[in-house]
Amino acid sequence: MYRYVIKRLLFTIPVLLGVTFIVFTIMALTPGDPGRLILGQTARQEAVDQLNHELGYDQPFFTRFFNYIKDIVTKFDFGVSYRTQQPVFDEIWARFPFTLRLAVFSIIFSSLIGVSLGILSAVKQYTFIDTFSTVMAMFFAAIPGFWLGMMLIYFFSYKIPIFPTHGADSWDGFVLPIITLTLGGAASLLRLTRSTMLETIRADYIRTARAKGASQKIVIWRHALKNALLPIITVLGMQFGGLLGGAVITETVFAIPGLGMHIVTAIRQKDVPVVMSGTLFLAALFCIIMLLVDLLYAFIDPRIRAKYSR
Amino acid sequence: MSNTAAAKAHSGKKSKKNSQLKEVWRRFRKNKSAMVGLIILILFALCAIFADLIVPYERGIDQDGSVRLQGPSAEHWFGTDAFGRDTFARVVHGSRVSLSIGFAAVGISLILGGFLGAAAGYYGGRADNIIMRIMDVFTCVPGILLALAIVAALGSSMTNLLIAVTISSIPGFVRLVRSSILTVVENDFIEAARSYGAKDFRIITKYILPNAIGPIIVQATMGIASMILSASGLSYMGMGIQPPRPEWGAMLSEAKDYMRTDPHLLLFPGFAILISALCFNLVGDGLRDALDPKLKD
Amino acid sequence: MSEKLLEIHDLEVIYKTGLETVYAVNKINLSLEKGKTLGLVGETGAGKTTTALAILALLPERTAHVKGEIIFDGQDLLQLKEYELREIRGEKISMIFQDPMSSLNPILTVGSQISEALTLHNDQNRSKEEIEARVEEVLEMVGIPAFRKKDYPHQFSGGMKQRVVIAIALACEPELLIADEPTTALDVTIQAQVLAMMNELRERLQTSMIMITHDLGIVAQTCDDVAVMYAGEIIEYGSAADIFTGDKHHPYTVGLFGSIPNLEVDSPRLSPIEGLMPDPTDLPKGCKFSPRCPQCMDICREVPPADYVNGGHRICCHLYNKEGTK
Repeated sequence: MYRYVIKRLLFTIPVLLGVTFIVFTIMALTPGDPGRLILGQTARQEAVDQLNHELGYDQPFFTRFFNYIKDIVTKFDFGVSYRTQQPVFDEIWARFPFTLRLAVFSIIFSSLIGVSLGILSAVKQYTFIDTFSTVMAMFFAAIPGFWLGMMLIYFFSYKIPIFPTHGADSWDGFVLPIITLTLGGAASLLRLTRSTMLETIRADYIRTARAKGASQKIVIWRHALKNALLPIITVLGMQFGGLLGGAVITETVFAIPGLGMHIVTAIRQKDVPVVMSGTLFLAALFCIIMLLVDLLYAFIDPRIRAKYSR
Repeated sequence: MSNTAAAKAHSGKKSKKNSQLKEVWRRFRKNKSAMVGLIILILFALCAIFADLIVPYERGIDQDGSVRLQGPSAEHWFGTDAFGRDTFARVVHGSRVSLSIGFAAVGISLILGGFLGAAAGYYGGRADNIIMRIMDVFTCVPGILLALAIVAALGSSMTNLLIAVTISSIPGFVRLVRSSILTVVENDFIEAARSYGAKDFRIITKYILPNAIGPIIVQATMGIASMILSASGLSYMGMGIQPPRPEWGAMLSEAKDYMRTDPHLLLFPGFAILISALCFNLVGDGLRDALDPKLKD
Repeated sequence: MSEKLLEIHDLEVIYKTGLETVYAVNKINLSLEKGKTLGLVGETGAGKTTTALAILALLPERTAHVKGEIIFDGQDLLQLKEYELREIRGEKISMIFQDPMSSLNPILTVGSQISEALTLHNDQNRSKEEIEARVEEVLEMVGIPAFRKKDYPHQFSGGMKQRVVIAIALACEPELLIADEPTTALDVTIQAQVLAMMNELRERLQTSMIMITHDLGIVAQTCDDVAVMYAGEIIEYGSAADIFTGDKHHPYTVGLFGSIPNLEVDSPRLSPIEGLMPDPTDLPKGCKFSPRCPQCMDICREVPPADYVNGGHRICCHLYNKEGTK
């Protein structure tokens, strides 16, 4: 098992290297240069060229890429923001708590709602509750998050002023964005849970359990749910990873200064070190989450456990 | 004797394929919500194709200060925006962008993802490893950030928006095609085809794809919905279609500043996105049930 | 005449989905005496498994419409409530399923899957230790070392899995055991072992059994009575002696025997039954076998035949009902 974890952690190195390469390439294609960015529009061209030379920006692409990697590996130096001249991780640590709060709360709520309603509608297939939940899920899975957010603002900030339209200064600023993210996530989890549960309920071993005289409750909780859990956990993990980086749009709608928004601002301004370290950070988090998901797999399914320990 | 038997078997095979399609269609037709979805989608598609006949493009582009921010009326069905442009015209013409990006992005990711996924699933081993590790790299970067960075690098245009949403959706298709292929490859009839010396390409196109196509079609249909959603999201972030060209996400972004007083600006483009995405999902669900009826009962 | 454990009257199972109506079992009658074994024989799709699942009320509730009577130990199972059925399932009637590969829950140890049946039907108030002891006992009984109870299904071979499935079914010493093709998924050598084991256990525990199979060899080895099913009907019914040696048979039974190799007779080739089982959504009007019957008469296509009864031997065919037609 330990060997498996170590192997997986080693596997993330080439993946993160790949992420670095791709993002570095995309950023290199983006118009603009750091000298101009740091010194501003009014600076003289010679000063800009001079600064670009100092930063090594006039060197060929692969040299720059190699130097970037070298600084990370040898000095653990991710660079400083072109815009603020601050070490990039200072800003990331300042922004990340907002994003984390959004992601953690919405993943908890959406899994509570989505998974439980998904089980319920699978078990009570073709009843009112099933129809109602699946219709709602259909609906919320198709709503664009930013529109849902704007509608929530319209109703709960303008029409009935309960929550602020934006801002992250107090807890109530987080309510609407969390609702926005929760509804979308719950909808897709509900659909997934329902269909995997329906598939599992049809399995032969469920029939065996029923033939033993097991009640519906035992059949669902002891036999079906655990087996149906694997795909659900995978999607939960991917959703959580996605929320950490992909809540950008919701963060934009509610003006929450999260990590996603930070990276988007940096993308617009071609603040390469910020974009690089931000995406690397998110990618590393994603890899760790998926590793945890796989370990959870092993915890649930003895077949996978056996495969890992080999 | 053997000739006629072969001919019989051949025609039998052909009619079987036909009747299978017919059977799928028969089951699909019985699914009311999927049929409603399909009909609405056809209406949307007609709207996009004949947009110029329905309402002239200029009505959605030309600014007219005298009719700023009006509510729905007989003259302006969906009202007007802050520049006095007709919202109805903008929604109708916006469908062109959303639908064509949806279809094109899915089409391209299907071809590229299908090719890579089929290669990974069929050949396995090193090819599989390399392709899947590259896909892992793309999966690790949040799709929306990747797309935003691509648009920032290449510049905002419809083509670049298309490239951005396509790249971030390819890994999903690669995984799907690969796993569908893997489940089919294990079947004995593939072994049989190999044993009489069929070429790889023939095996993939003749035997594997037709048997793996079901979930791929379903995923592609639903993929269109998510492409429409992410393309409109990018436009909302100001990284998609350039104004004044109408696009649903961009319209919502413009509506942001006026939503308190003029919520109708929010309503119509939002519903357009919602309904089109919803209908693609409904059709996808219907297709899944029609292709694999045992899940239904 | 000894006591009847199970009597089935006019059992009918129809699957109705939004798309089609499948006539799976059409008014069958069966009975089984205590301690005896009944063979249910027929091709795939004849309705054997549906009959078995109907006895346990395990058919999908929404789509399967069941009519008739299934009298077990004096009570009609079709009239019982779900909780009453749960008392019977696993304790009084248990079932061995066809495919051992998928019949065990992959994420639970085999021991816990056996003990589950015991815990659910713990009338004797066994303690945890006693239940564990019983689990080990049943495992040993089916020929699996007791220490393997902590193993998971994927660690067992197909034959061993089927033994586990049998152990689950026998754990509570049921009065009736339904074995649905218990050996079809197994190698021939393992088949013989499993059958021998089942026979021995049946002798020892005095369990009645319904043996579902399409293998006439198995029927000859294990069954006292035989019912031949075709397209949801029992077309011939009698003691094993009637079926294997009697001089009058349903043409389908004749065909069934014709399609297995006989080493004693030097026949040039096997004679399979031509054609396929009729589509259960669209059954023939008269005798269901008429389209494939080598001795089909005009009446067969129009009128469903009545039973020809000779002692305990019933044949559902026009051949023997019409005086002088044969």
